[in-house]
Amino acid sequence: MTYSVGLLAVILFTFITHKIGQFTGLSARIEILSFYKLHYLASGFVLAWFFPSSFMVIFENNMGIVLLFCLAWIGLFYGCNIEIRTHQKYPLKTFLFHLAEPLIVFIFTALGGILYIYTKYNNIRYIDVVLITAVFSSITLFKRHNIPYREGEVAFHSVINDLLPARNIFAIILLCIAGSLLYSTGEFVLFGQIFTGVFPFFIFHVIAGSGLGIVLSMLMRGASTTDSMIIVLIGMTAVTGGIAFIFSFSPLFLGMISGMFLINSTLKRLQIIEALSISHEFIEKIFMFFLGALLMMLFTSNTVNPGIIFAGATGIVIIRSLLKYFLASLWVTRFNGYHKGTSLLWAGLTGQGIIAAGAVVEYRLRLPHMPSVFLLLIVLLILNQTVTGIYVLKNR
Amino acid sequence: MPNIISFLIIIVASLTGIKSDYVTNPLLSFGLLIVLAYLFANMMRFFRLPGFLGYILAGLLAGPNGLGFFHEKIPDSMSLIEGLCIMLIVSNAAGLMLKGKSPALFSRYFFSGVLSSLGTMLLTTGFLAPVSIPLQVKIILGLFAATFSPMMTFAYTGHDESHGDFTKTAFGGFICAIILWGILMPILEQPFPGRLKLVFMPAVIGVTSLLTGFVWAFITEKLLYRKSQGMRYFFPLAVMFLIYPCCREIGLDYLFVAIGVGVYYGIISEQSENITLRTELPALIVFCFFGTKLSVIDALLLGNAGWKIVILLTLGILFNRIITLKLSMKLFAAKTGPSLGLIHLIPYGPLSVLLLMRFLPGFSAVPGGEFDKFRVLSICTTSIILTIIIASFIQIFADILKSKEQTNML
Repeated sequence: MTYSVGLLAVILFTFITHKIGQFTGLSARIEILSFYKLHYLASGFVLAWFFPSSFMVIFENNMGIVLLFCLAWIGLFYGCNIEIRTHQKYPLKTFLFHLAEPLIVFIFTALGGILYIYTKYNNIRYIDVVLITAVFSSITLFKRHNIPYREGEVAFHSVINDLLPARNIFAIILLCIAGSLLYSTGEFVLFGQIFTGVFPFFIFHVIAGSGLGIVLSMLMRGASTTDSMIIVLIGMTAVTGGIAFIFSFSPLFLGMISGMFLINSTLKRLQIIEALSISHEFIEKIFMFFLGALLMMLFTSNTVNPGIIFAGATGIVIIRSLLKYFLASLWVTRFNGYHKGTSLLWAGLTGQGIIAAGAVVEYRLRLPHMPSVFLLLIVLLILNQTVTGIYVLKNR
Repeated sequence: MPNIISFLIIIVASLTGIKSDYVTNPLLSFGLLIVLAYLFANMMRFFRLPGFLGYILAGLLAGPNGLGFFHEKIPDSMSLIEGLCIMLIVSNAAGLMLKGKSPALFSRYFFSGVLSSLGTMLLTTGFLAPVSIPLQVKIILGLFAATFSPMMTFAYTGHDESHGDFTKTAFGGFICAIILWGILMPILEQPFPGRLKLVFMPAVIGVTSLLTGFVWAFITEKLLYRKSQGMRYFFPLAVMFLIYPCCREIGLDYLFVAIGVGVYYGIISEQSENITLRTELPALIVFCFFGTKLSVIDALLLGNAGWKIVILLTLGILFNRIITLKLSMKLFAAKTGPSLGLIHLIPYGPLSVLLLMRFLPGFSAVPGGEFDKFRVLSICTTSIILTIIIASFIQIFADILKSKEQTNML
């Protein structure tokens, strides 16, 4: 009976969403949010709402596996977006902007957070939470439209469009290392040997990722059809996720390295990207649905105060948006490289896509006992996406 | 060559993983299974055999009865994925069977399947009469022989229009087998009040589930479907995902719900052309899982089965099925089909095992209790492997004959 009520709720929710979608005036206003698959997140959220005790036993049992798989997939997808030869033509000035911009946002957000914590608690006991939130706020994690044909663009500023993959790789490495250092024991046990520190963390990821990339590349050579490529990609993503779980690696980072290796070593680049894109839409939706369900489950647990989380996230979004706007204006007006206006660059810098959602879930997997960090980051992500959507819409 | 090297790398890594007890993670096992299945499918294609045989072989090798990449508990935790994949393939097969075909023609093939299933059951039970096993076991083996597997037939013939009618026949045989299992189960039980009511239970559940699936497909198409490129691929999965747990809650049969959905898409739906299903991956998962349920030890060493019964049963199945199929097709479908084409109807598939696993525990009247049930299961799974091997050899033989004929014609 409970399930039937939930089922009716989902149908009603989807029906209403579709009905709203039929009003072109209204749907045009929220269309940009569907790019982030926020409606799937909402759908998972609503479905879980009707099952506060147990949503669906089989579903919940498999939730961790599915999320781990999705993380490895997202990493692989973005890794395949990083072709080294396409990133060699950009001037140093543009590269510097992409390095300096997140650093400035990180410094300001971290300082603000530390000051707030210090004034409130008179000590710095939540410094790790502040640092991770600042890292997360500083970066822009986004994706390209229509990558199979290499004609796609993020519909924002060309600076973002050109260097987005380079930004993403930097951001993922940063997020994974920060997450690992702050929230894991800092130890890797590999075949009986214990390793500690950033260097082994990085090196082992690169070795394991490259190894998986080599196997993937060899398997791809024998795949002739799109379907067989999809099978190989899905199988190897599952292997990547499983290995990441066993050795406490980051599935996002590991997937990204194997994807990067694959795309730079293969002769079937376009076919692989086509196969990836077909499956990616699918997996993205499933991931956002599961994320919505996970979010609701944590909201209903009594340990978290949603009001404080929401207020904190709103504050961070405002500070972050202002900083990004200031830096975007500075870039457009002072460095005078582009003439498309500040707003597009700002919107592009503010947006955080599915890869950022992946990073949030990775923290959740690393930190099962701290749901508040996950909630803060996820609300931050949703607000960033919404703000970008609204701004793009306004400027259309 | 790269495929062979990657195969060796995966096997060595997996064996090292098993030795170090790393391969207990469900995701890793699942990934290894998929990659192995892909490699084995390529190997099968090299021998001009259908790729899904490679999936079964991979499941057999990686399963708990093989090398053990896949632990016994893991398939249980993957039941959601397996269930969804089965639903997707079954609804797709049902939709394709009915799309644009005349109901009269469909019913001809369907009834030839029904007749064939009934005939096979009676003949196989008779065939086993001289064997010194209890009557109940003989009837169970007869019922198993009568269980056609439309999914296996669909996998064999799915891409070949000229063999499409075999799927309809297998579907008829499958439905008849369900009814036979359902009727005979309460009859073989010890007498208890209301026993006869149970006879109609499978039919009632089947019809209710079918109608529910039909109505569900209608509701989802009207309320959830949207014309967009993303929805084209995502919609079938969403439809099945939402109804799957409901089947468990209410007591519906998910297989019949899927058939109902397929019937709606095949006969009524206006959007079926816009909905695309990529069946390659679901087929891989279903056939791999099917492989994990078979026992390579039983097939090679015959641990629990017995050579005599297995050989008798396999020969009985082959002989009786071919005879009954030829006869029933002549009676109903007015077409015997190419004689070697009938081999597509012989091998057992995932749906036969599903039915066996569902009904066999219900036979509490089996003499010898759980031990005999386990033995019956071993006999059946060993026969499944043997029929698949025989069908594969016949297919290779047919291919050789065909290529020789073509050479002669040239």
